[in-house]
Amino acid sequence: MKVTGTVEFVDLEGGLYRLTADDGKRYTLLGSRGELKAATGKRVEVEGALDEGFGIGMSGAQLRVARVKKI
Amino acid sequence: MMPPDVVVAPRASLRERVVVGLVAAGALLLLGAAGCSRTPAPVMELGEDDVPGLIEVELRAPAQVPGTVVDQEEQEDDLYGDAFSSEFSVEIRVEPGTEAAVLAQLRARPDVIWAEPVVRYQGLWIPDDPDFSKQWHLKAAGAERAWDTTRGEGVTVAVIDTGIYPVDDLDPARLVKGWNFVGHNDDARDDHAHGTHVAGTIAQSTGNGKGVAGMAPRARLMPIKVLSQFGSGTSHDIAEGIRWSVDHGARVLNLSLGGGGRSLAMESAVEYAHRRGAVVVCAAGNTGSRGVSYPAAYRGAFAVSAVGPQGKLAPYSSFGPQIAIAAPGGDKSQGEEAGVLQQTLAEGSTSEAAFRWFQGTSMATPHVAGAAALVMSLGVTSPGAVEDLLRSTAKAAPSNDPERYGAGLLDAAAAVRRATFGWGLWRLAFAILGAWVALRHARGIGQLRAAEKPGALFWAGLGVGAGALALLAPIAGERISALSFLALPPAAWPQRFLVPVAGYIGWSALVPFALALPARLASRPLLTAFGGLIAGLAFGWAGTLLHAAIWRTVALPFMPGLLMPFWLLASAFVAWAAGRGLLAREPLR
Repeated sequence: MKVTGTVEFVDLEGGLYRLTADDGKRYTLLGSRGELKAATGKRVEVEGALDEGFGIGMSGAQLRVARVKKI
Repeated sequence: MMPPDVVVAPRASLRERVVVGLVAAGALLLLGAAGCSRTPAPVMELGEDDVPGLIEVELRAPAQVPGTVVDQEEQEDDLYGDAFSSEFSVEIRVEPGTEAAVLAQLRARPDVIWAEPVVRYQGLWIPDDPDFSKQWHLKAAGAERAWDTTRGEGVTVAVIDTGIYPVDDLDPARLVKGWNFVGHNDDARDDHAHGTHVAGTIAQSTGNGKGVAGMAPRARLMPIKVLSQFGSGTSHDIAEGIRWSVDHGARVLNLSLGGGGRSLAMESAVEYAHRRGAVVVCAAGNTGSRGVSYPAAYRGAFAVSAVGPQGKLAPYSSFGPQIAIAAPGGDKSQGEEAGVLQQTLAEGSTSEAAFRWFQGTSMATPHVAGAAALVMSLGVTSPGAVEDLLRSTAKAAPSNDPERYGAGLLDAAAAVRRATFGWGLWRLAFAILGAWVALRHARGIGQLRAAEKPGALFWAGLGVGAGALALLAPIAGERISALSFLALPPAAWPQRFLVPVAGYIGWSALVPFALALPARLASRPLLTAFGGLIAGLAFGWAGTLLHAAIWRTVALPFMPGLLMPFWLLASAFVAWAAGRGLLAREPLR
């Protein structure tokens, strides 16, 4: 799936990256911290897959990131 | 005609002494209950140990403060990795009696990180870890007041998380073998930082002159890696990790993880762990809204919500009807140092360590897991009893809102105090009552004369058997580690110091019966020093068993939970009968 939105850093559990999609949905991003850090604050298109599993974020849907493209 | 070797000195009758003893025990129980009363008590609020007129304030920047500045200190260091730390600590003196008003005024200021009364910690063991003073969360959870009695020795806590990295402020001797369910090997080292931080809150090396402290520093840590380097994992791996850890000896499970999907595999694993005698402590979730995540919402889990330094629910914490208790998880909206400080991996590193402030319900959970370990080290082996103890001794929350705070704010010291002092008095009262009934019966049927009274050794044996030495534990227990067994009744020693199945030796009438039999065969059982000692021990043991049956404090391997009280009641009766058999003038024919 592809989702466009803005990446933000959330100071929870040692640091999480969250994508707020254009439709208002929020996803905890699972992926390279370096790549996500570079995308923080920017509008991006994230390609990845919904992860129905469990994790440290505990704050909503998780999106396993395959690619991040700045737009 | 009185036997020639019996000296009858003028003294109070047994009945008088029993009455006095029971009244004293009742008074002490009332005092204990008063000490555990649920008066609203925000974190580090004014108390009787405060130094009159002295207040400590942590400021974001130098600023005017009320009163007279007694001491001030500016600290700047880069100890905390990337987060450069700078703080201004000021100790002020105000007019005694005005502390509450000044504290309220200071706490309302945006430039004040925190303000609290200066407390005199006479008699407490204060660890020499240099940054312990910054761990407001351990104090709020009642850790330091519990450490004089126990530090969690003998209990294994499984950290089911991203693994544990052996940072230098974790004692390698406390790390036991774990498993990596992500990589399918025995290398359960952390590659994220989350699990190591959680492990630090539970059992960071404490009193080693380095870094920071942990809730139960002598507990063992079992790393169970079920989450990847991204901090995520599957319900299958988590369920497997839960079962593996319990099967390998963990008695407290810390699950600082969650998700919204219900998994039958995980639900059944949580129930399995609880049934096998483990306390399963789980994070409520970080949605900041109503709805507790799984596994915290499963039956058998002990769900924890997070509070900040003032004891108010943290803005990110999930809440709901499943919340059992609230614990410090940090609230960094009040500043970096309102987080939870532990050593873990440095940001972005898989090998370098750093001291970092985290916040989340994941950080609240290990405070509760550590408290559970402290309580379990005192011989409380039933997970239900541990949970009841933590709930019933919780401090009152800022508002009566069970969905947000459960039973209230975690108070590990109160739980430890009740498990030693409070329960010690009950065991003693039961033992004295049992002895009184037995003596009355023996006199009633002519086996003893009214003048034949048990001596000092009888009462000493009764006290030891009832675990009355636990009443001394807060004074002597952990100061002299060789005497740490004092905090437990002797019935709990085999299970605590040998293997779990050895619990059947202590939590039965085996010991008093085996000791009473030869004494009963000896001449004039009660009137010999040995006979009196054993009789007293048997009554004390019976009191301990009766208490364990009523309070359901014990779980034994292979014993169904429903049968346990009946086993203990029957054992209590046999132990009492063993003591009763010694209350006779003549030997058994």
